[in-house]
Amino acid sequence: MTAVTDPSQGGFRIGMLLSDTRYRGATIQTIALIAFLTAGYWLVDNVISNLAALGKDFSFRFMTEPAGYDINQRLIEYTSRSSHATAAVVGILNTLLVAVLGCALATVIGVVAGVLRLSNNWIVAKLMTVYVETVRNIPVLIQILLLAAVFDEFLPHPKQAGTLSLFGLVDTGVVATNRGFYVPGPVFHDGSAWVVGALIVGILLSIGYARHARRVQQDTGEILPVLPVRLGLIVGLPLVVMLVLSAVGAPPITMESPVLKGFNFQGGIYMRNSLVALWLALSIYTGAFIAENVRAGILSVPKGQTEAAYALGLRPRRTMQLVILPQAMRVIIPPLISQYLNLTKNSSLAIAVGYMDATGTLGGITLNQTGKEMETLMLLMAFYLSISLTISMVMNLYNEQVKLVERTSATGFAPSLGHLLNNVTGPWRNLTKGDAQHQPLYGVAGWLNLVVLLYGAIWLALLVYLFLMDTPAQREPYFLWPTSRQIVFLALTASTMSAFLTIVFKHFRAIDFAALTLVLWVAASLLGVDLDGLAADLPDGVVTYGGFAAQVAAIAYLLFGKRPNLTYLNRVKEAG
Amino acid sequence: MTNTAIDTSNMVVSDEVAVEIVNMNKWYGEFHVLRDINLTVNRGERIVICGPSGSGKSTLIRCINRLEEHQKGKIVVDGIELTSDLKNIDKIRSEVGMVFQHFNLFPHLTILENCTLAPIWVRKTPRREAEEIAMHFLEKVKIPDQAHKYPGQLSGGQQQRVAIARALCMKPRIMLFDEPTSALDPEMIKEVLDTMIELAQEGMTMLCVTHEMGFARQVANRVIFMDQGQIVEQNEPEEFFLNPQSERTKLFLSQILGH
Amino acid sequence: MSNAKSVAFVATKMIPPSPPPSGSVGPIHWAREHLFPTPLNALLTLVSIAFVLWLTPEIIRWAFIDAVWKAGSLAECREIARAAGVEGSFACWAVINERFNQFMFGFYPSELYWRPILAFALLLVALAPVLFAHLPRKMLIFSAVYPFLAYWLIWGDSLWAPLSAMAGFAVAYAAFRALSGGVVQLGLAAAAAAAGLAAVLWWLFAASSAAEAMQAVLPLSIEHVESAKLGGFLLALILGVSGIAMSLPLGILLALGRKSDLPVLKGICVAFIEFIRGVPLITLLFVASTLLNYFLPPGTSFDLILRVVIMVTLFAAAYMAEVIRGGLAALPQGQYEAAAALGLDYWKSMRLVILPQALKISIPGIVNTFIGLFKDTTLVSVIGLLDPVGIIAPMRADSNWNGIVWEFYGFVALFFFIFCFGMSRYSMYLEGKLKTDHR
Repeated sequence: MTAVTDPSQGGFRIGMLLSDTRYRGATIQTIALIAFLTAGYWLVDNVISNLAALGKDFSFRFMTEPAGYDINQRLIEYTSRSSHATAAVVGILNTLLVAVLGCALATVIGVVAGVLRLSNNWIVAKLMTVYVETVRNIPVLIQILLLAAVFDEFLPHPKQAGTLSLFGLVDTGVVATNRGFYVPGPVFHDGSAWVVGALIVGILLSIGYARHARRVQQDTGEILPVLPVRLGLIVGLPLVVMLVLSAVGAPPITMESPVLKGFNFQGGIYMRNSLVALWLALSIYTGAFIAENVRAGILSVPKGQTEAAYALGLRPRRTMQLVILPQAMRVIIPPLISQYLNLTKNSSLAIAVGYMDATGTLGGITLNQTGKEMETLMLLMAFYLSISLTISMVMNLYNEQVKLVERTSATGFAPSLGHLLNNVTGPWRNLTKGDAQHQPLYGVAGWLNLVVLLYGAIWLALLVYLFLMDTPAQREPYFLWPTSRQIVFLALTASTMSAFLTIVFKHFRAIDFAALTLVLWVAASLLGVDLDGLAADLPDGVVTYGGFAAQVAAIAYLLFGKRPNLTYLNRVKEAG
Repeated sequence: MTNTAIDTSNMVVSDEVAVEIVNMNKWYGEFHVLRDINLTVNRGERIVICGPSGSGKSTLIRCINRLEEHQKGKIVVDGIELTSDLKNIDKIRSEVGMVFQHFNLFPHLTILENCTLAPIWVRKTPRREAEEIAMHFLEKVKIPDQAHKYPGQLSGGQQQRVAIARALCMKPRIMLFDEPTSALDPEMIKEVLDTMIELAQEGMTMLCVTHEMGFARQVANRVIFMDQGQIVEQNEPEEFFLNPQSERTKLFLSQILGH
Repeated sequence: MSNAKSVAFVATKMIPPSPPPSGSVGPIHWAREHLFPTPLNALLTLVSIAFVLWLTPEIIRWAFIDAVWKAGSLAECREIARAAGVEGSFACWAVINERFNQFMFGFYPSELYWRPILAFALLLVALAPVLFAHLPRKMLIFSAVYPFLAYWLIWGDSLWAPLSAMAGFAVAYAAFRALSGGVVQLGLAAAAAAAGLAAVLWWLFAASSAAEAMQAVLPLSIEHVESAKLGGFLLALILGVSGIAMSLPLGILLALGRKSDLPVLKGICVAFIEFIRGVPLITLLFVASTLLNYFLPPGTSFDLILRVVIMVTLFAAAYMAEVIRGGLAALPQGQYEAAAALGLDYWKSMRLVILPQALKISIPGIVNTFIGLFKDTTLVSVIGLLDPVGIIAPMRADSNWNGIVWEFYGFVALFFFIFCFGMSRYSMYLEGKLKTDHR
């Protein structure tokens, strides 16, 4: 919107750069940008001269060299002859392992403690308050170190250890020793695929049944029992398959308990003390914060809501299910997700107890052995950053979905190809400016989300690629490629992933990503990136031309097929 | 409705122009909110602007102190043209007082501090003097005894009177009122209107966006009716109410005076 | 009341209030309502009571009754306990007793303990006017001088170094006064920028030579203590207090930048905040310990503690910015408009109208960030600093005390608990006070 200048506004004076609102912003920003770039240049220049003085270079080639150290807790194949990159992947997987375990346990602890804190039962509520206040005010590092030290010092040697039992009643089969925890684990034999298959079928059936039940209720008003039937399908079906198979021949899945052999236990799942200490301490610590979120969420639903539901004749259970929980969840979920994020970031404290997570491998031994502080820390930060940006994007999308309609004063508008094609392809017309500001990808925040999406995708791509790194002989390792190819490949994978994700979410941004991917794909094949190498098993050309065709198909689909999902938009329209 | 005769001896309209708006246009995105507004306000005039919601009347007076930026045309306030020059904007804002629908008092400051804030920091008045001025105007709006309370402790009507006093402390030559009574309970409207009438009697130049037609009849020397971003009709109050010309004005008046 | 069909009714006497039926008030009723409302609750109550009754005496016995307070080693502790007829585990506080000074000061020279103690006592004086509004405002001058004084007291060496650093602020102030009103008439922003530049120039080129010159003229110095000797709670407090003091102003600036409608400024702030919040503190500490010197001109290097303080401050500032942004967003648009309509410019309206309210709204969040920062200072043990947690490892490795766990971590945890819990209570006190203040 250019201001139509009035005749009296006259000529330009140098003083107007600061005193005139039209130029003031630009002036300040230019100064800020110059200052920022100068500072950036100064820092980079310092780095270059410092590296030169030390005789170091900046390259990621060390990632392909043998790591030369052992990792004793790992999820994938790894020996000390594997590369640093593989060590990093082992570390990343270990981070994810403890993060997932921790989030699950922390949620359970947090929900139980949060609900109990609100309970009418005075002593239980007080006990939970003591738990929350104590744990929250003690640094998590102390809790981790304490648990690890207690396990190391006070748990019995394997020779003296027996299985733990619950109140002397139930034998859990878990053995806790000063060398680690041994947990009974499943062993899959022939035929176990049937059981897994039955589980998947059961889940699918239960989803189908839930839909059926809802349809029946909408058509006839009859309320079918849902929970017991769904449980029966998910649990019962695999159980039946297993029993049948066991009756016919050998059981397809057996539990293996740890058995003392020599100086150590064998069999089952082995968890080192460091992992267990980290897991428990992180869960207990984060659980206290989650408890507070849960409590605040439930308290945020006014008492009038319950009263109104009761007055309508809803039973307490239905009131909870239909009125209270949906409202409380809106308040609980965003802070819950950021607690998950905190837990994941705090899992980097693993290095203090010697659990080899991403920080322990990349930022620990690899850094010390190679002396590549700059490169390893960059990779490490990129890893954590991509996790948190991905999670915050999920959170933004969630917030957009549940947010009640609210006038936003967004200042910019991120243009989409969809708008350029507005007049060509009629159906996109419903994305006018007024509507688009209710979209999650609008304005400055919109571009940020975009970047976030890209980050998440880059991370996934890297992980997938690094995974494959040690295996194939035909392909040159990624870190040995020329830099330009590395970048093109990364961008290509990222944009493929983004296009895929946005199409899955049926987001109007999808067309931009699909187009970008198409361009990159063509550019990559022209630049000689070995796209077919991505899947060496397939005949030549399948990946290159298949990918090209897929992108074209995606764009065609978006242009002429079903519209990207605008349900959210429609909801806004209905509400407003 | 207060129909007590009001003293009009000071309500003199001079030839001096206070606000001049020429061919002013404004858009919100694609939406044309103000269309070719032409308006000249002389010193001492009391102008009431009315119209249905969304007609652009609030936007119009917010353009006069640049809370909203106009995109086309010309606004001259007190001989200073409103351009993007910050110095002019600052000068105009300190000459033009504004009273908002929702008072917008600063809740973290006492009533007295609310009134002295701008004189001290913008006019660079010494504190003691600023406080004397503030007390003078608080007495005028009849709440000097509340000076050391916080806005949250006052009723809506009292808060709005403080807001008027706060604006007056800057010794403005023009006052803008943006629906000053529409967020108030009925019994509090009168106290605010009385204050505004008093102000008019002293010869203040006023532009009021309001639906208080009694106030318009008593005080205004011109009533402006706006619809869909344009000035549809303007006239002296008697003529405006008794003999509206435009169909839309008639419809609006029948709706607003119909009960 | 002979005619039952009549609907008219007049009360002939007032009914006096009577006590409620027995069992609906009093302790028994309370217990029934709050402890045993349902069978499940009754079971929970009983289990909880049993738990408390078992745990509390056990802890008291372990920590106080059976505890050994004076001994030279764990073996000696055990002997004393056995002689006293203690069965089962007991606390051997003797180790804390013996290592108390290390927990407090690290390896700070013992004859100089008075210096950090004095610095701590003065900290309380410096904090008082900040925490309690009714103290005389003049005391804030001391609060402003305190950081330099504390630095000198703890690290020692020449007094002129902190003084000349402080002089940088005086230079900035003089430049600001001269440029904004006195000698030349510049805009406030330009004057502020020039003043900042003057201060930076002073620090870069003049400060150290000025300090040396003054030291030569008038030697005023106390014994220097190396950073490597600092440790224990002293270190935790240094990191915590300086991080807290510096992260708040930086956080405010970042929040204002993020709320700004200038895309470049906003972009820089958003990128900075999101980057810092996206990585764990430990990676930033690695940067401080291994990488930060790469970003400085070749040949320069500065103290590890200072580098850690910088990183901790940046870390906390990003979180602070988000908290304050929430406070800014909670203010109604009318406040911004009213300030503008009165003619206040951006910085004045921020300082006088917007920030006082936004900060008040965000107090709980700000204090939570402070608590988080203080807890996070323990992470420096990972990069080898001897804070209370870091100093435990060598103690546990000492053959005299090998096998002690709970006492070490319990003692340190208690210390942090007292500080953090105190801070959270103070924030609740403030919240309550501010709520009643203006209502």
